[in-house]
Amino acid sequence: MKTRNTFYDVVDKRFLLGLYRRINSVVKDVMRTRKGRFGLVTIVLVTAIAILAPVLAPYDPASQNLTARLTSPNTTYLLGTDSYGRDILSRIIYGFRISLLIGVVSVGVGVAIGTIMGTVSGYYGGWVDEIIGRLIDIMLAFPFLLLALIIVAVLGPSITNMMIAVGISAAPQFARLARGDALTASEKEFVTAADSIGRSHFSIIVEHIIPNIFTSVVVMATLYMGRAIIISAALSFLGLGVQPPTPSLGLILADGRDFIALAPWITIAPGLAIVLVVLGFNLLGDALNDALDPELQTGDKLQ
Amino acid sequence: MLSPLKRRELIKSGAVAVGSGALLAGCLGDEGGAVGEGSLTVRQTYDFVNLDPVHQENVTDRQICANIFAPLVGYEIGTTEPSSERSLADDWEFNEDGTELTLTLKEGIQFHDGYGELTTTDVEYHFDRILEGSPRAVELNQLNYETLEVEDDYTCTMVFEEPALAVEHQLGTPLGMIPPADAVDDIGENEFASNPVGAGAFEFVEHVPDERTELEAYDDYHVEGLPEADELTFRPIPEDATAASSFDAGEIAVFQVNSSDRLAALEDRDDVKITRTAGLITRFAGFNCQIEPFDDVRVRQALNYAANTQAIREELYPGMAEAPASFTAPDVDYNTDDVPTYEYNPDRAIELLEEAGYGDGFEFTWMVPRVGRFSEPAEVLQSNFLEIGVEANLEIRDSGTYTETIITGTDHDVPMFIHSLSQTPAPDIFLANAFHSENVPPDGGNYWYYDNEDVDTWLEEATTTVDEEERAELFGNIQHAVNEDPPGIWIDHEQFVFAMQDHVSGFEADPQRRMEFERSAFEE
Repeated sequence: MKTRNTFYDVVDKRFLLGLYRRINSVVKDVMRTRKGRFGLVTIVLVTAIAILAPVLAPYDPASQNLTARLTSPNTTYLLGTDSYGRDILSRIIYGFRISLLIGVVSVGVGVAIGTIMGTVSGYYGGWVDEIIGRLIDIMLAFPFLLLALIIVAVLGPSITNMMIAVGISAAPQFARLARGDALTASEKEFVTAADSIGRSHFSIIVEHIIPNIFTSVVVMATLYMGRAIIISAALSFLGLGVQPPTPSLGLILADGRDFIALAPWITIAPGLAIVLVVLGFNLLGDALNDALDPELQTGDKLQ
Repeated sequence: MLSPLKRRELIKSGAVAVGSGALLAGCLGDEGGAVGEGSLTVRQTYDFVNLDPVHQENVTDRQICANIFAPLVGYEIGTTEPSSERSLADDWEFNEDGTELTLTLKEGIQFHDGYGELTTTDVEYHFDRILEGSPRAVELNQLNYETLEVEDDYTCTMVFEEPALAVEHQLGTPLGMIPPADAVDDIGENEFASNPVGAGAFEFVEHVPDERTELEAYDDYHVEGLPEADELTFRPIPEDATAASSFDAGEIAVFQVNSSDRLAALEDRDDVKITRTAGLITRFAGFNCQIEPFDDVRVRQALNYAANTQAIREELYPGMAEAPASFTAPDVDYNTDDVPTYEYNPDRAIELLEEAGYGDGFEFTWMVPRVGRFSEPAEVLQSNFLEIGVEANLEIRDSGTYTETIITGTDHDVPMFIHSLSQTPAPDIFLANAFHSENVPPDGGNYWYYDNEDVDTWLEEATTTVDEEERAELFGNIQHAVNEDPPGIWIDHEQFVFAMQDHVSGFEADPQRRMEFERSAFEE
């Protein structure tokens, strides 16, 4: 009877071309501002380092050389060695890998859970909204770090559990955002129109609601990458995340804390690395927000 | 049976009222730092759990207890030599069979807070409380005497079924520290844990959880002219780095140094005094001998060959770690070097693994407490094991969780652990506790679930023999056996090193990690 548009029909060539143009224009917008340039370049650079870690790292990040422990930075060990004689530079290079992995996976988990919760809540309204809304409120009542701490303490310390914990803790933020946007979108004419021609709720959500909340979720996801990396560093620092000898920026920092007076380079380098990644994501997120927000764009031009 | 309990509850509520009064008074007094007139502030790693000598929980508890309570048999500070001056007992003597220990108390020893004179009634009451505890724990401490014959107020005899020579050393631990019987009754068993009353050099004043434990000099202390200091404060500081900076800032006067890097920096300073001694202690990584693949002695030997413990001692803890041959520390009686040892030899390790059918290596979980002196060697051993294809996944837990899992034996499925065993000059009790097959957790300290029939027999014979030569031979056999069929990897015997501000005198590092401050003072 009726021709049903599936998700795959939407992703056709025209759509991809449109998406490419859109990304291209967004990147251009982002690159126009100083913070955007800094953010984007930093993140691209860090990602490249993470991908090329095995090529770039001068040493195996886990191999110990006890006779060269706590060596200060020199030509052999550019950033010095830690208390087990492991090369700090190599550990940081691999640490970027772990940090980005944690950021992407945990934000992915948060986006997935949060978007589903928020969209369903905002679209259906009524008692569904009441229940999910209260659940979001309860989760939001806990500070991000505390919630992640509780979840990881229950699940037990490991890298997978930490990513799940950080993801779940970020989820209510995404849920709140998605709920608001879904609520606005669900009142638009094209939704009413789709509903009146008998489209299922599921296809309306996938085809009309999600594309409309997509941009704000992307902006927030970028901003939350930074937060997720900080939280995971904090959890690893507390020993609840990555377990040794896996190099994670938070763990290197924690290892160095006992030697902060004797060998400050162990803490300074990973500390700066965390600042760099997080700053990169935050500035990029900010610039993205400006580029994607029509109202702010005019504001930009006025300056 | 019910009425005394009820009475205790009633008195307890009274004690709370009195306690809060004391708290107020404490707030009004001036705050004493490390550099004050005769007031001494000392670092403890954690806050105490229980200051009731009957319920000693950890090193910190014992260290604080030793300043509030006086032991029946005291040691000369910094040594393992009994000192009659520091003892509550004037004399203690075994009969020839080693089955009867007669204690003669000093006359006129007064308890804190006006609880009167120490008599055999207090001793009997104290031992009764110990005997009420878990029977296995009592047996382990060899305090399971048949009868206590009380002759008069100052003389009593412990009568044992079998010779129990090692009991002498138990009387120097909190198990031999006698509180006044009336005080335990008045204050109540639970309250007493944080409101202790003893006959030691310092009186308990106040405890602010996680902040400080305040003691003050006890004027009627039985050793003439002591204590030197007016006040003694213990401050819990879990982080070593924080403790070191508190020391640099002059907030604490004494702390134990656990890192040789820090020690090297402190040794260079003129305004810091270092006191050190070889500890009666063994640091080791332990296997659960019941869990595959550690149930195979070849696997345990292989990991011993793979472990480069020499690198740990020489690189991580230079000058603070002695190489172990036997499981017992060199200064423990009957210690012997006539034992098989494992030189670092990865090739031999791989051979043994292949023989045992683990040529391709294996993977296991290793639970480690989040305490530098354990997690550091564990990380080195982890990388040693990797060289022979054995993958150890470290699970670093806070020490509370670790202790609960390993020591209380709630989880028997932990294949590997790491900690240290404090020892006494007589090996009877700690060896039986660690290696006898019946002494598994939660009551015993056989955390490796070691089960060796010969060792069981030798332990039973050795601990009930008085003949010196026979004891030496039996304890020698035991040390040989636990090295040949090793349930763990002996890493080192730690040195106990303490740093103190140079104006502190009279404190000495102790082989049993006691921290006794009665002779400590400030020299301005």
